[in-house]
Amino acid sequence: MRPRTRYVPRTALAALALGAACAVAAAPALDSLERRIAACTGCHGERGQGGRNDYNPRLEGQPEGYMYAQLKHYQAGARAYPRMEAMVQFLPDAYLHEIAQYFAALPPSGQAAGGVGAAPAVLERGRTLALRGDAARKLDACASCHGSELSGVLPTSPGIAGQPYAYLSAQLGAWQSGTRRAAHPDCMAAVAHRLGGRDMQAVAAWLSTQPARAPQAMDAATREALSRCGNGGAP
Amino acid sequence: MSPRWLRGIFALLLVAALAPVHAADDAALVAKGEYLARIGDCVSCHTARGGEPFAGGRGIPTPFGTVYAPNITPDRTHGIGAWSADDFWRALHEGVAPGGVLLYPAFPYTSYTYVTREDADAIYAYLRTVQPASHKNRENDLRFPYSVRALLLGWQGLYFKPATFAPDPRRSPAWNRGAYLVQGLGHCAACHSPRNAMGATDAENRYAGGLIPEQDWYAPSLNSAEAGLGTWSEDEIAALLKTGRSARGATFGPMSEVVFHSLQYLTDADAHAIATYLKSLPQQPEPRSARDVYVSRSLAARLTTRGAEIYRKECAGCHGDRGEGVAGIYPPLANNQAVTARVPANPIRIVMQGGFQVATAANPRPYSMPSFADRMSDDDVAAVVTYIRASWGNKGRAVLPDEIKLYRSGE
Repeated sequence: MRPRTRYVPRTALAALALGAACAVAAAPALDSLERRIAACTGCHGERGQGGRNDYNPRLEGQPEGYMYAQLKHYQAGARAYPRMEAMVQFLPDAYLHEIAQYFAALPPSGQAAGGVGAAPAVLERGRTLALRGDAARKLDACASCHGSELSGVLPTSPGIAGQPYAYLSAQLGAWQSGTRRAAHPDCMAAVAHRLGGRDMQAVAAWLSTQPARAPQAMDAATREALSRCGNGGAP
Repeated sequence: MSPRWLRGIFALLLVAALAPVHAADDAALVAKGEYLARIGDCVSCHTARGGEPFAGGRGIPTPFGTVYAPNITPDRTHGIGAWSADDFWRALHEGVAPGGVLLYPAFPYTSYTYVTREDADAIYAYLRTVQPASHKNRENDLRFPYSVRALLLGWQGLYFKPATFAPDPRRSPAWNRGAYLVQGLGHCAACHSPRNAMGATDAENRYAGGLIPEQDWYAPSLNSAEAGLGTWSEDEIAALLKTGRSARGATFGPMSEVVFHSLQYLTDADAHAIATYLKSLPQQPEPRSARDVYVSRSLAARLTTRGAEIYRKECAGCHGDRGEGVAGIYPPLANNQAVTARVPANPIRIVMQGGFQVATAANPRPYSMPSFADRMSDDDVAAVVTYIRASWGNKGRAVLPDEIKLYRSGE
């Protein structure tokens, strides 16, 4: 038994060394998309896992259709964030598709963004709203459109689990104030209005503690929920 | 002697034979107009972001308030569908719309006045073919007294006279073509010249460079010994215009927009003609700027030392240990006038906001640079910009940490 146990760590070490060598050798080629989109990964992480500033959202595994739509919105000024608007302003659709595909194909980390130190009662409130909604206030659960794991539904519902708290609360605020909009009837605007500040923070706090997973396939219930939104819930 | 019906048939045949010729003429005129409208970059100002082409609505920020570009589609109510070719010509040539309405010079008629009647007619013919849009014009949002349109009479009296392009017979046809495009449709002077307190450019300082009002990007001098195009080859200039990149540097900010909507469509002959003309501009010293500052030698030395560390860690991977860049991919920083310009707005803003190179037919999947605004303090940005401005033969002045603040808010 003894020689064998010694053998295993050695192979592991060798594998690690090989892995490290491969990682060095596999630095993206100059003519690769990774090198071209250094501006994207500079803020959203090498693997699209999100930024280092507690705000920039993770992109890995997000539905391609959702990300492409957002890039087009930034281009048209329909979604406001000056740095992103400037980034995509002079890029053709084919390239935006390619960039969206690239991040959509990256495997989600399974990580949470990390809590914001919210109190357990707040997190519990957030969890309830996200998973069950609040029928008394005609509030649908986040899960009804964003998937039971809140990691998105193909082709266009974004994953919201594991996003940074600051990003989620800023987006809810933007839907509430109308700086972020969708086709009428604007479901997210309605949700944000009904939620109000406190509950927005609770939902954002809980979602930020949840692991980011791959988006689900569309199912009948989600299709039904999205059909009540403008333009079939197109983002 | 021929019977009437026979004459009738002749007439019909004649019409049938002539009609395609007319159609072909019209198509050629419209195609010419489309090309010229692109060189004039009409679509850029006359299209709101995400809006229908030429339907207007984009706000042009000026020190006097915002001017909203109008609808120039052939819609009869909201566009220029009711304008005659004469009306269109007067707008371009004299800065006056039908009914004697004086036009604000955000519409660059101080340059367009040099456009020939023939070219104006071609653009007019093209604009009549674009999709009419019933987009209503938006009122300008100018401060008093600039909101009083009649005051433009005084402005035009002081700063504008309709003019005609006069070819120089001693110069080559290419030079004259370049001069015509640069002075007229290209309206290069609109950004690349300083403006006075009334927003006017003057002939003396034409192409001396200037900060673009309200945008805070610096349009470099086109004719100074330090920053002008005299040391560029014609091929380098033509490449920059058509592809947004060259061996000497890449475009960014507003110039990328011009390349995207306008200059990438230049024929090779016109791109070289413009290069020929620009290279021939008499060389002037780079003018002083209100943003010039004095930086002590010891502070500059400290900034450079810190900047060298940051450069090795964050920049050298793409731009090279000696600022040499990678041909066709990463612009060089050594001997790059955008880096060393007297007004350091551009290198500061590029470091902070990063960005993609402009996509063109020649470069449809451009490379990009990350934004460093969140990762670098004002001190760090000042240090690294000072370092690149003073290394590898570059001779730009040091940049103060306080200067970074100017651009961080606008970032």
